[in-house]
Amino acid sequence: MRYKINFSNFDRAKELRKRFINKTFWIAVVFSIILGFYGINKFLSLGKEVEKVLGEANELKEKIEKATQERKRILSEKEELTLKNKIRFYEDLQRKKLTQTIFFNILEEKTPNNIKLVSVDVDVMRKSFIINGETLFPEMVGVYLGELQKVEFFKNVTLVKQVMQKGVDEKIVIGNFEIRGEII
Amino acid sequence: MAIDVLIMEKEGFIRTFVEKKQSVRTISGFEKFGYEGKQLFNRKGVELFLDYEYFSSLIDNLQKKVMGNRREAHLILPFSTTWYHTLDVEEVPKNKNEAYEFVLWKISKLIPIPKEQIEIRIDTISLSRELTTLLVAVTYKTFIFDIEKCFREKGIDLTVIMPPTIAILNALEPYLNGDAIILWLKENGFSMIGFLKGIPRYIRELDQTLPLEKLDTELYSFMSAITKSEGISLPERIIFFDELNREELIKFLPPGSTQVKLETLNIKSGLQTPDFEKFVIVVGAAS
Repeated sequence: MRYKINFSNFDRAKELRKRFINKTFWIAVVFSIILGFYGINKFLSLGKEVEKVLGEANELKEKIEKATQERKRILSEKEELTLKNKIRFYEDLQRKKLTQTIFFNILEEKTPNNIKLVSVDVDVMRKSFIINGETLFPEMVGVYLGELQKVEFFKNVTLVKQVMQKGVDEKIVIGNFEIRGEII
Repeated sequence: MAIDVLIMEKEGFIRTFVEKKQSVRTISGFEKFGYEGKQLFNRKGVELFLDYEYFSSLIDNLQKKVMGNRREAHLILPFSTTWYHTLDVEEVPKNKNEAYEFVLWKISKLIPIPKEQIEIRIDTISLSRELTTLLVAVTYKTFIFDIEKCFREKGIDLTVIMPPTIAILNALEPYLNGDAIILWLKENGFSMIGFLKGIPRYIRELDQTLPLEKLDTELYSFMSAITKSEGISLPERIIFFDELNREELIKFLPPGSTQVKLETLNIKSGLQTPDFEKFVIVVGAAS
């Protein structure tokens, strides 16, 4: 074409640019739609997951509730009282054992070798004790009584009975005694 | 490259299809749209108005019948809707808008339409150290705008909108090798070109019926205007083409006038139609 007078206002470069932008726009729209669908799907699946988790949480809650109910059922007021009584019983038992142990330890510590204990009767419930013994040295009974009376753990320790017996050869004197007291 | 080319006339337009292969232009298709007694455009004073609805309906038909999904076409404007000027200038502003303003300033007084209606296109046709020659074509802004809008609404881009005389010049390339007066006659009017020193220096279009008896007067007044303006003797060569192929035409022309032969224009067509000559213009617009 030698003469290029052209009244057209059509600008191919502009048109191509416009088409490109248009195409890009539609690609973006399609992409957004796909992304949207994906997002919705994801959201729905996430929703399902959340629902599932919530369901599980509810199940757990129900189980806990059931367990609590079960526990309540197991530990009824009566049962709880029994349990408390048991606890108290074992605590008492433990305390008694402790008291007995302390008593015998004190006794072992305070009893001299020349005194032989025939019987020791401790009633932890009544907090009283009775000691029967014998010795070849009767004068030691008073000393022994004095020692027991000094113990802070005991009170009202008294010599209830003391009997002197002569041996076969009439030379040896055996002294039997009974001491009673209370535990604090 | 193949393209639909539309020749716009007062009463309608003709559609053809041009394919260019190894410098041979093949024309196929020939369909007329309109020509129902209604006019596609009207002149009111110094303005030109397109019958938008009618034109739009013709484009609808065009799409339905022949264009299908093709989205580009070339259009040749009707005769006498364009003015031409050549300007010899020492320097043309490089900025497009400045060049436009410069040319508008130079020629606006010569154009018989309001300044705000002027649509200008500039083509540099000769470039030497001293002078640059610009071919300036002017038409109606709203007319072009309406035509483009109408096509664009139908999804068709008019990549070329060319005045018929420019298309004639492009089609006549093999003949443009020396000073000549080119005379193109059609049923309702003519186009005259004073082609001097390789430049279409003077162009005149007329869109009214011109009896052959009056032709010589028009031709000689055109030629004398050239000689007076240029201070030269008349070019000896007259190249003529008559769309109606009137044998008696030669009697009214100076001896030695050359008739344009289609075979020299590298046009191939199997079409048999009396309007075939119009396709020469089509080729000019699509080449």
